[in-house]
Order: sequence, then C-alpha cells, then structure tokens
Amino acid sequence: MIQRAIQKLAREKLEAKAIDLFLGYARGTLPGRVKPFAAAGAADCDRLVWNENCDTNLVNYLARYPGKKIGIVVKPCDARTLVTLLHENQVKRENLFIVGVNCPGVKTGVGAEAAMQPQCLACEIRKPPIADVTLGGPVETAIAPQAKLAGELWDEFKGEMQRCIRCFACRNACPLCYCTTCFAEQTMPELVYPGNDAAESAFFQLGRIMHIAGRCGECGGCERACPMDIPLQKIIRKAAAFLEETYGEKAGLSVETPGALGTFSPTDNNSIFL
Amino acid sequence: MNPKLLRKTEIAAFVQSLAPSHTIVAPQPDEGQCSYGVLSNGAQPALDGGRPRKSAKEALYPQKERMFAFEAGAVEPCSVEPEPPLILFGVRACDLKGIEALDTVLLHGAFVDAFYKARREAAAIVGLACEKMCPTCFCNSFGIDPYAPPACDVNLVPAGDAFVAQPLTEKGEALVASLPDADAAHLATARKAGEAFHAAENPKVAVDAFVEAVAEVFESPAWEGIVDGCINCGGCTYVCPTCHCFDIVDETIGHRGQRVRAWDTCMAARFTLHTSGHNPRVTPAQRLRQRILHKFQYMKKNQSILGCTGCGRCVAVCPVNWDIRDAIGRLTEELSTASKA
Amino acid sequence: MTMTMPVMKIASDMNPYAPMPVRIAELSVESAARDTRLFKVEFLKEEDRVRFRHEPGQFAQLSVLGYGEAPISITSSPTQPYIEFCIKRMGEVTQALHNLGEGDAFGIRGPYGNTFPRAMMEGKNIVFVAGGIGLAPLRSLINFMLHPTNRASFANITIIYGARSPGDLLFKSELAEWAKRVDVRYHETVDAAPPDSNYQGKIGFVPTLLDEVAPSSENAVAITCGPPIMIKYVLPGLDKLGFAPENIVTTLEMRMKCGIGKCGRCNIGRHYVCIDGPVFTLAELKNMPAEF
Ligand SMILES: Cc1cc2nc3c(=O)[nH]c(=O)nc-3n(C[C@H](O)[C@H](O)[C@H](O)COP(=O)(O)OP(=O)(O)OC[C@H]3O[C@@H](n4cnc5c(N)ncnc54)[C@H](O)[C@@H]3O)c2cc1C
Ligand code: SF4
Ligand code: SF4
Ligand code: SF4
Ligand code: SF4
Ligand code: SF4
Ligand code: FES
Repeated sequence: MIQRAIQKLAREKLEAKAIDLFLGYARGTLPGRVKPFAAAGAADCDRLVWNENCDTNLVNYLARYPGKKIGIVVKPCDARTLVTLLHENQVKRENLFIVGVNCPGVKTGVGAEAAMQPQCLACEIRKPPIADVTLGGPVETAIAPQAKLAGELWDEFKGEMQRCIRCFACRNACPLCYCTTCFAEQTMPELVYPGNDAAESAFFQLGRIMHIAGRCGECGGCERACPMDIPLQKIIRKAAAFLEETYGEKAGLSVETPGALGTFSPTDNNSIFL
Repeated sequence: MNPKLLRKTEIAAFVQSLAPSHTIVAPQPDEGQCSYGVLSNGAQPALDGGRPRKSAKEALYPQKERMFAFEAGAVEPCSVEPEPPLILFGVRACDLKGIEALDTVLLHGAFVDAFYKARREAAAIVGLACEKMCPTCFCNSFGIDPYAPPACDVNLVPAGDAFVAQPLTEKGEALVASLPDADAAHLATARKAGEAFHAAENPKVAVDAFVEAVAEVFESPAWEGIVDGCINCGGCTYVCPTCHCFDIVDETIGHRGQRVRAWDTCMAARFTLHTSGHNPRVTPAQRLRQRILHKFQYMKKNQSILGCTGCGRCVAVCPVNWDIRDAIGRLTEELSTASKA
Repeated sequence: MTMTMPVMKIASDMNPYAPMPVRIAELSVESAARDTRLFKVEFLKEEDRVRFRHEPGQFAQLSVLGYGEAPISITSSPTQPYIEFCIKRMGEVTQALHNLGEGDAFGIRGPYGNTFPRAMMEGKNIVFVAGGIGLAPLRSLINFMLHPTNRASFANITIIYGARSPGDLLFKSELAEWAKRVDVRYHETVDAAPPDSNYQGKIGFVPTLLDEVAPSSENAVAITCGPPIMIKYVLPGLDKLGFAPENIVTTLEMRMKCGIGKCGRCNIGRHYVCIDGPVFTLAELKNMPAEF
C-alpha cells in the first residue's frame, strides 16, 4: 500500500536524521479533503495519509524551509514543477528526498460524488519525471486527443475574467510563482490596480500565464485555489499546447534540459495562443 | 406585524413589482453554486441554491468603490444624485450578522464612511432562513439562528410551496404590504421547517471558550503551530462577510482618473510593508494571528462584536483545508494549557 | 459572479476621503542629498483654512491626484499662521510631491490622529531626543512650546538632535536659533562628517549624546522620535536616566491608507495608529504587542 510505504520511508529517513522534515498529507477536516502536513519526527509519521484526494502540490512549500533537508511526496505534475524549480536554482537536489507516486489522477469529493479533477482528465504524464523512490504501479494514459483543449478560448476567457476577484490565490498556490514582488503588486509603475474589473483581471491572468507558460507542471493548484472556480487550467493548457507545438517540448520533464521559456515581460504579445 | 405569504411561483413577479424603483440584489446561479448579484429584469432569485459563494457585504461595500474622480490634477465637483434604493433579497443569517459587524466599523467611531452609510440607509434587507446547514456552516456556534435572525426588515421562512414573509420593521412591512396574509397551514409548515433545521444542526464549536482564551493573548508559540499549510492566498478574507480592510489607489488614463478603494487582505505581505522595506508582519504565522485576533479579540474589544459569524465560507474556499473551526479548537486548548503552565 | 454596483457620488464636504486643495507657498530643500524638502502650504479655499485646526503630534494625508496619498506629520506649530510638511522622498507619492514646485497645488485631508499629551507636560522640564526626519513631528511641539504665549507653561527645554551627516541636519536656520536661545539647551551630533565639510560640531550617535548630556529625569518628560535603531538605544538610555515609562512619549509609523480607522491596516494589536496614535507613551507601548 502506498500510504504504508510513505509512512515507512518518512519514518526511516527521519529516524536516520537524513531529513529534517517530511512533507506529506494528513487527514482533512471535511470529507474528501486532506491537509498538507509536515512530519517533523518519527512519531508524526502515522498521521501521513495517501488517497485519491491528495491534490495539493507540496512543492509550493519547499521555499518555506531554506537550507533544510526535506522529504516530499510528489505526483507526476508536482514533480514537473519541482524539475522547473531545480532548473531555476530555487531548490537544491541534494537537500531533497523525493518520493514519487505514479498517479491515476486525483479526485474532489468521496464515494459516489468523487469527480476526477480537470487537470487529470487531460494529463498525459503519469510517472514522476524525478524521484528517489517511485511508488505505485504503472498507470495507463489514454487521453483522447480532443481532450487536449483547443479552439477559441478568448471569449470564454474574457467571460470568466468577469468573475475574477483578483485575490491572487491562484498565484499563491503556484510553486512557480515565486517572484518576491509580483508584477501585479508592484507600485512603480502600478501595472495592475486592486479591484475586480474584468479587463485588469484578464491582464493579470495573461501576465501570469505568460510567466508560467513553458514552466507549468499542470498540477491544477491555481484552479483549485480559485474561490470563484475559474477554469484556469483550460487557458494554461492552451498556452502549453502552443509552446509544445512551437518548441516540441513539454515543461518539467527533463532534469537535464531547461524548459522553453524563462522570461516574461508585461508587454509581451499575449495574443499568440488565444 | 402580520406574517405574509410569498408563493414560490410568484417570487419573480413580486420581485419584478419592486424592481422599477429599486436595485435588487439576490442570489443567482453561478457555476454550480449561487452568488449574490444585481438581478436583471425578469430574472428569478435562486433561493434554494444553498449558501452563496461570497457574502452579501458586496452590495453595501462593493469590492471596488470610486471615491471621487479627478481631471488634470483637480477633484471633479460632483452633484449627489439619489440612487435607486437597494433591496437585498434573500440574505442568509450569517450575512445579516456580517452586516451588523460592518456597521460597527464603517458607521461608528470618530469618522463615518459616507459611502457605506448612504448605501446602508437606502437599503431594505430581506433575510432568508436556511433549510439546512452546509457541511461547513457553524453559525449556530455564534448563537445565530436563521429562524430568529439578526437585524433585517423581512425574514423569509421556507414553507413548502411558499415562503412565510415575516416583516420585522416598518420598512419591511411596507415592502410586503401587497402580499396576502399567511394562512395557518403555511405557518405550520414554516414552523416545521424551523424544527427540522434545528434538529439537523451541525455540532457547535466552543466559541465562547475561545474568545476567553484569546482575550489577552499575543505572543504565543501556538500561532506557529496552527499555520499548517496556509499559503496566505487571502481567498478566505474575500469571501468573508465581516472582513472589511481596504486599499486606496489612484487609477489614471491620461489626465483623467479616479481614486478608488478596493478590498485588501491582511494575509498579504504587502499589506503592512513600509516603503523603507520594514515590515511588522513578515511571517505567515504573524499574518494568521492578525486575522484571528482581529476577529476574536480586537473587534470584540473595540466594537463589542465578533468578526466571525460562522458562515464557514473560508473553510469551503481554502485550497489547503485550513479550517477555522479546527484552529479555534486547537488554539483554545493550547492557549489555556499554556496559561495554566 | 462579480457584483457591479452603481457608482455612488458623495459630495466633497460629506466625503471623508476627499482632499482639500492647497498651494505650495514656499518650498525649500532641507538636506544636502536633496531628498528632504519643506513644504509651506496655504489653502485654496477659505472655508478649508478655517476648518483645519491641528495640534502638535497630528498628521495629514497628502495627495497628488494620480499618484495616491501618504501620511505626513504636520511639522508647523498651530501658533504659526501657515501649515508646513517636511517630506522625505521614499516612493511614488513622496516622489510626486518632490516633483512639484512653488505655486503648484496638491491635496490634503486631516488633521488626523491624537496629539502630544500637553497637559501632562505643563510645568515640567522637557527633553526632546530626535534623529533624522524624526525631528519633523517634534518640531511642531518645540515651536509651540517656544512661542511667547506658551513658553512660561514649561520649565527647562533640552533638545538633542542628530543626523547621519551635517548635510542631513534639517531646519538648519531654526536649529541655529534654538542654539542661540538662552531658554533652550540645544545639543547636536552627526554620525559622521565628510572630511571636506566645515562641520565643527560633535560626531557620534544620538544615544551617546543623550548619555553625555544626561538630562535630569526630575520633574521631566522626554519626547523622542527617530529611526527604529535609534529608538532602540534611546529608550534604555532614558530608562537609565530615571525617566518612568509614563514620562517617555514617542510617535509611531505604520503603513496607512485611510487615516480614519476604517481600512484596518495600521493597527498594533487593538490600537489603530491613525486614530489612537501616532503618539503613545512608553507605558502605553509596553501594554501593546511589539508588532511595529
Ligand atoms: C503618522 C505618520 C507620520 C509621518 N510623517 C512623515 C513626515 O513628516 N515626513 C516624511 O517624510 N515621512 C513621514 N511618514 C512616512 C511616510 O508616510 C512614508 O514615507 C510614505 O507614506 C511613503 O509613501 P510613498 O508613496 O512615497 O511610497 P510608496 O511605497 O510608493 O507608497 C506606498 C503607500 O503605502 C503607504 N506607506 C508606505 N510606507 C509607509 C510608512 N512608512 N508609513 C505610512 N504609510 C506608508 C502609503 O499609503 C504610501 O502611499 C509618516 C508616516 C506616518 C504613519
Ligand atoms: S500554473 Fe497552475 S497548474 Fe501550472 S504549476 Fe502553477 S499552480 Fe500548477
Ligand atoms: S484565484 Fe481566481 S479569483 Fe483569485 S485572482 Fe486567481 S483567477 Fe482571479
Ligand atoms: S487560510 Fe486558506 S484561504 Fe485563507 S489565506 Fe490561508 S490558504 Fe488561503
Ligand atoms: S472567518 Fe470564515 S467562518 Fe468566520 S465569518 Fe469569515 S468567512 Fe465566515
Ligand atoms: S452559516 Fe448559518 S445562516 Fe449562513 S448559510 Fe449556513 S446555516 Fe445559513
Ligand atoms: S490607516 Fe486605515 S485604519 Fe489606520
């Protein structure tokens, strides 16, 4: 069982003092929810869980523990964001003990109400591209090509941006949004004002997407964080598909070669993929 | 005041009859849930859609509000035109309590927020009793009862194929004057709805013990302990009925512009950042402490009201399942053992 | 669903966020680095001039339309027939203010905040300890006390002032006047003086000068304002001299927006610096969380 294996690995590494912390999941307070959980000692390891609700991308927490040796559970999408962070020198490989899990997809809810999360419906990468140990059997991927979202999204995107409240939760949930001063919050010059008007929300979201295109691991963290349930994955995948076609490369798959894009400017042409 | 009867089939027509002279804000379907919004002509309020995604505070305290316009460096003179008065139709009890909390901040103290005051005074508020609690609702822990609601002008209580509309103020009485009196059968059904609601209430969270435990606390190792996975995203504060912090910014296009205020969140690091780079609240734990103490200690002392109504929205939207109910329990325990030690 | 509410218009005299127009009557550069300027302003509308009554310790929100607002202490004394602000260039708004020239207009709203507790200072010896731009808020009170109608209400007045360099000493002509007055004990220091300056005074930090001057705490009140690092050493210095926390007064800074206790930004615990402050005694601060 994967949960048992995670607990065992975490306990061994913590007892051997090979790591200071193990980042995993614990039971949540609502049915169908888990909580991110940092096990600091062997005694905490019984609380680690693994189930189909383990959606949060734990890579987002690595920046919280600079210099610490950390064990971490990653799904394939999470691992892809980790690969990007390694390319960008945001984390040190030697400080990590990575437990990868082959992933059949994560779900929202429990039992009959459980629904596969949107990013998983379109996910082609079912094996973590980086891991010290990989748990779980191989997972077949059968994504119908039409699920690779294409077509006119601009109108839909504009419509969705009417609902955006510019809380920036999507950004905070994203392990790749680590700029110390986000372009949306800088004041000189002020590029994005606070508030909720659709045009500026679209500007913010396009700016963010341009910034993560070619880096995004497609973990769905942004969309899950959105209190307005805006389907951000759709648009991000459109950008990813565009880059894949142009550069023939998916982000975060190869530890050796860095991704297609690394730079961003708010004046970049945003129209290319819409 | 006599309870009136509003048949479900007649809601649209009733609302329509109020509409020409009023702006109406009511719950409407929104991506599988419902949200309060300005009702367009002929639209039907979604009164059975459960707890709206965001609180009703937006109607009185919009996310973004223009404070004045300016042109070429001078404030534009403005004449004050009366707005069509507002009707908030179908407001949940937790949100009614939230409005009470906003009142204490924005209407009272040395200064009055003229924008909130103007909207508030022009508004009539129609409450809506919930048929059942959502899994995250815990308004009962604050003594809030949708069947004996916090201040509103009319309260709608579900009664099968209709709502019993109980006027609670003169304004409310005038609003529902055109409706027929409620009959005995519907009144009985409404009473049963209340009984059914109360019988199926969610377990209570020990709020009083918590308020007592945090009454004088500031420094404590307990804060680090409850941060958990909170990513300081602020989603919780935007959906909350009582959160009222705002930012003020100037928006300009050429020589024209406007000064606006827009909701802000204490969960963001920039919230307290000085230009010099100094920041009194740098860690997630410090910001979480601010959010909790503002609601359960500072507002209690300054405004004699709590900054939480138990609406549960922050629990529902949190991407990492940071659960205020759980935090209240854990903090009460840790703070009271710490004070005994 | 985002709710768009109709735009609400509130007449300026009812709108607590609407600034009153002022004109820069006189502008002077106060620091050698040119990053601090003194703005003497006059109201464009007579009714605003009449309405604006401040006390030492209070501040105003200064606004440049299109750039925003910044809280700035009113550095002039109510005994003076004009209003002055001493502003250090820091970010967007303060830069925009620095771009203005004599005759240009900007906006102010206020006065806001509490005042220096003058009643408790009457009949006492007064010790001012200021560093850098921290003199700006104290200057209002100093000039108030030195005014002929008020001078007799206070006993000895000692002023200890320091800046990073001779060029950073603000209000130079006024400092010279204070130094000349027989009823003021004025002491000044700079952290360091460049070799080419003709500065003749003391070199050293403000807390060191405080130790040297060692003003008596007998029947005395100390009022201090300056950079956090200075305050950190001045407070123990005053304690050593025997100043009780109730007799040490300081003025605080927190990031602000509304200035009127609504925006929820400037609180230290339950206290809002914009309405309960910015002036606090050390005794009050000791009962407040150390989150500033
Ligand atoms: C009560 C009080 C009195 C002050 N008196 C003076 C004075 O006499 N002279 C002087 O030069 N400075 C004074 N300051 C500091 C001054 O307010 C800041 O330097 C200024 O707000 C920086 O704004 P900015 O627009 O240039 O910077 P930006 O970084 O572009 O603006 C950010 C915004 O954040 C807020 N803000 C940022 N830093 C501060 C801060 N330290 N304090 C308050 N709000 C802040 C303001 O609303 C500001 O407009 C005072 C501050 C306070 C609270
Ligand atoms: S953009 Fe969204 S899906 Fe992509 S890595 Fe960031 S959080 Fe995950
Ligand atoms: S999380 Fe959703 S509502 Fe918030 S800024 Fe992102 S897209 Fe907008
Ligand atoms: S508690 Fe949850 S919703 Fe609130 S800031 Fe933290 S992570 Fe975001
Ligand atoms: S803190 Fe959470 S539960 Fe309490 S009122 Fe706000 S959103 Fe609702
Ligand atoms: S918290 Fe209470 S009033 Fe609010 S929606 Fe839930 S049951 Fe209704
Ligand atoms: S500045 Fe807004 S509350 Fe103090």
